[in-house]
Amino acid sequence: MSPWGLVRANLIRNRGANLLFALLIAAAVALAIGVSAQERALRQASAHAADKFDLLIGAPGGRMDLMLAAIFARPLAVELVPGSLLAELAANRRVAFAAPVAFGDSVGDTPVIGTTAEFLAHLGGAVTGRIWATEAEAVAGAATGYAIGDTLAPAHGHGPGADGEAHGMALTVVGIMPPTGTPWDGAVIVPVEQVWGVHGLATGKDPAGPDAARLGPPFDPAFTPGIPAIVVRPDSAASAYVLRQTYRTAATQAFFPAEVLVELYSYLGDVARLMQVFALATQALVILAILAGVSALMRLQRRQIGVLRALGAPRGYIGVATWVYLFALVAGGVTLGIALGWIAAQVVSTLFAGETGMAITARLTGHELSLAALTLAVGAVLAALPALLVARGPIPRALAEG
Amino acid sequence: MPDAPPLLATALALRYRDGRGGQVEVLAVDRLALAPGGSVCITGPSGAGKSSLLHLLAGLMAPSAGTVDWGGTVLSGLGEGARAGWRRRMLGYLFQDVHLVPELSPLANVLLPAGFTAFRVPAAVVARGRALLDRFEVPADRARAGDLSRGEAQRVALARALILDPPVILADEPTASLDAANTQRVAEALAGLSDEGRSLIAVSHDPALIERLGGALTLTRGRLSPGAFRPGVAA
Repeated sequence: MSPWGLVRANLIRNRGANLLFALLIAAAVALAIGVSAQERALRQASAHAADKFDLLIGAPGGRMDLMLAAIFARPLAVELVPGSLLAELAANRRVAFAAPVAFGDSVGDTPVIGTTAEFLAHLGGAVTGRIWATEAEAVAGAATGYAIGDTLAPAHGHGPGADGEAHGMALTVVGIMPPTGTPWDGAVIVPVEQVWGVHGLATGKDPAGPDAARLGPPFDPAFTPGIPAIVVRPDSAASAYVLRQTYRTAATQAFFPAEVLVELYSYLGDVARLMQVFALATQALVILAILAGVSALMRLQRRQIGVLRALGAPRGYIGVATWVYLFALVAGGVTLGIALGWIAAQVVSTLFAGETGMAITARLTGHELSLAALTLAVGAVLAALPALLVARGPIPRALAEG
Repeated sequence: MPDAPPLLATALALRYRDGRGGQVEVLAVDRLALAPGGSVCITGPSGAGKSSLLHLLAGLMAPSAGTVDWGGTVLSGLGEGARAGWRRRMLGYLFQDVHLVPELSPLANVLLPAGFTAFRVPAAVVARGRALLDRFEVPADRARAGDLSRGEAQRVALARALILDPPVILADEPTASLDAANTQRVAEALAGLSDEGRSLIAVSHDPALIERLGGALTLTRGRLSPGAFRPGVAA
């Protein structure tokens, strides 16, 4: 049978209501898909950001704070570990390298992070331009907008409260770090000695010794100030666990950022799942409401259906034509919803990326498409109900009365 | 076109409950016969049950008693699906209110019955639809049937009734609310169908149509009598 003519007539006749129905379904589908794609994008981006930070060692306290400050470049105050720990770790044969991460200063909204050239190379690879040679030189993250040759005046603290007068020292940008997809892209990275120096601290070397002006390790434990965080790259996975165990003490905490993220994701995942349940329930309600509305529309068309029956249309034809019409609404709404969900995820990702400095890419995967397919399947089943009712109705009295 | 079947309706009754436990008899037709290819006009005052009689003859509803026999096929003996199939093969129906699908083109309206059982309407049927619209002088490709004049619309309905080439045509006041010129055209078209060997039963008060179809019966308070109904004359 060929119900297209009738389907087309129904789509045209109720076009206002049809459009509204399809948009409602689209909105519900977009919500479910957007939440799902966005949650995964956030998870992947933050996991990627923490990728190069194998093991973090810091003073006892909140693991989340330490992680947010060291990896996500959030302006948080954390306790310090003794500087001598750096030399101790460097001497450990299980350690490939141990890099200090010091923070607290900023240039405008851009955080300034002090570390070693070694860790910078590990994080970002080869810089454009060159790495710093003196304490007055800096490497800018790819997303800071700074160019080689720019002169920066770091201030103590972050944001409007930062004390611009506290440091009298200017920094010159000599290199740009390639994009890493981490929040460090939005930071200015300086030799850790610079951070120590401007705060009037010892700079890791005996100032009277021959190494006084050399940057980077080895650091003399006698002249190394307290450090907010140390990133340790173990020489093997086994060493990673041993080191984590060794530095879980009363004076230090050691953890894999990945494990903290997993914990975070389990909360995030619970929230996302809950939202998805809401979104799916919303979809079911939307479809039900729409089918109720459409059924009311179909009642107005009982006369037309009676005419078709009188012309010899089998019940199956009426049922199929009604079902195809309703399913077209659902399918149109779901298709539009996939597109809207994708767009929404892109927009939210861009906003989040701007906010956090992470490279967040929301993609639609089989999971989102299966959510959409589920909606489509539910719609197909629910559309059969009005179709059956319409097809089984008696040839209307409207026609039988004359 | 299949051969036109003879019609024999016997002891036909249609009753409704009146809501007070009693029954209202709408129709009581002892006998209505029509030879193959014959034509007859059923007249009568409004509310006499003329449309109901057509609905019974088309198998759109079941009689409370009696049988409608079209050449050996007793409609009340068929199931729902078989009755629909019988209507498709044997019957063309013209409604008093025309009932086109206004959003579709005249041609799409004409071809609707051809799509009831075939997934694709065969090219020959499409050509037949165009030829019918041509014959009744309706532009086939007007975008919307809803934009047609009433006379054009009734002629589209006539083409729709004929698309599957049925041997029987039932027409419910086919010229009602048409102007004189359009009445004339539809009456001629219907008379032409009778000349093609189709059986034709029309409900109408139209003297032009009654004259063209040759015979008339009058339905008064559900009962048939010979001769045309003349308003103001007691039946």
